[in-house]
Amino acid sequence: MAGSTQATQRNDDLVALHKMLIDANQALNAKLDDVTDPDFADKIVTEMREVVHRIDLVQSLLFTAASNDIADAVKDVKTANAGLAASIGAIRKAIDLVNTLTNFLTLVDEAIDLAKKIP
Amino acid sequence: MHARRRLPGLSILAAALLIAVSACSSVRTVEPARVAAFGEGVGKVHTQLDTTFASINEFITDDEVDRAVNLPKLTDEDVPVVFKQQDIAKWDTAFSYIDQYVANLTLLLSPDNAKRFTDATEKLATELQQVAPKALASDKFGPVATAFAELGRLLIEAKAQSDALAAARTADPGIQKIFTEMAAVIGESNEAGVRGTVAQHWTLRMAQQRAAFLRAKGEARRQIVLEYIKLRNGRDVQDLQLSLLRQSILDLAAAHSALARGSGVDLAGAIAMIQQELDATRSLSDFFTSLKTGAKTTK
Repeated sequence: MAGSTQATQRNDDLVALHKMLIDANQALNAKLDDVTDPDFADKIVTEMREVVHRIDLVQSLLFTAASNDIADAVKDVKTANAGLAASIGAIRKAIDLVNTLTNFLTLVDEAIDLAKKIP
Repeated sequence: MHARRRLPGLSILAAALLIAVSACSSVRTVEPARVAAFGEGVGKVHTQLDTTFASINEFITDDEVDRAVNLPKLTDEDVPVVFKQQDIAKWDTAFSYIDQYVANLTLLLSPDNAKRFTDATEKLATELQQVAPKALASDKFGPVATAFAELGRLLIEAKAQSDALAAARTADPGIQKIFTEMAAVIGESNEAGVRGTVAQHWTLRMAQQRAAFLRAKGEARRQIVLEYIKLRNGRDVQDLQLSLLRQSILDLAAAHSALARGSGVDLAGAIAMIQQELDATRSLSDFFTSLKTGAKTTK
């Protein structure tokens, strides 16, 4: 599939990535229910802003041609995403939240960068 | 007795003649109105689309600006636009192709224009197959471009038709595909497509208010609560706008299907729904504008 041109079909991998990011944003929003520390809440909002920025980027790439590279990259995101909502729910320190989201978004960015390279 | 027995037969014959005459006259008088009604429906959905997209772009760009001001450097990618001007232009192009198709159908309403229909339809079919896929191809519009190429193929078959109903029937599968793909781009829920993206921006804005609430005291908290409610209303209004747009696109598909079946009642029903959805979209747009002014003040 690498290099194939299916630009006229929705890229299922990127649709899945879009949904994972939406879920991550929702999990962060739900985390605000548990938080009373305004600094921690601000960190959550900052992370949400980063997630929403990626949602915009993926939205604009949803019909990029499928490729094995994107599929592999999204697979890595799926693995990282598997326990993400639970992790966010359990986190008590802002620094842990930032680290968890940074790791997740690094994988997301790799998938986005690959998608951008597809003509 | 004899006369009595013949009367029902005469009545049936008269009724049949009446229906036949009425059917003939309805083909001549109702069909142009039906094609025109479908054309008006296309125009209404196009207006609805422009109204909805304009408010979404402005709203989303605001959030990206808020993010960008905190970055160490600014790149073009840091302020993405969900609906770029060139993408909106592609939707406009798509609707202009549908307008051309309707104009061609109108030619068939006069028997004298059959040759003009054949020529015009051949030209449009060629354009849809050769130009439209390139003109409409984009990261968000791929399946719609493919659907137009399919419509072009069907119009090659339809060009030999000499009545509008038969031509619409031939083209209908292509038209259905185009509108179905357009509706899918909008998203069937607020967790998919453009609706999903827009909903997350509202969630972000509401989260900003929730965080601000923790730091605020006294009257400031009251303002934040009011702002939160305003944002929640805005979220619901904008999702409703998008869901109405998606529904109108699907109603347009239903309207064409009714046109192709010769069902004036179903066509009128679908167009009436589109008018209601357009009216609602305009009202929601005004309401949204009134909400927007205050929505950013307490960030």
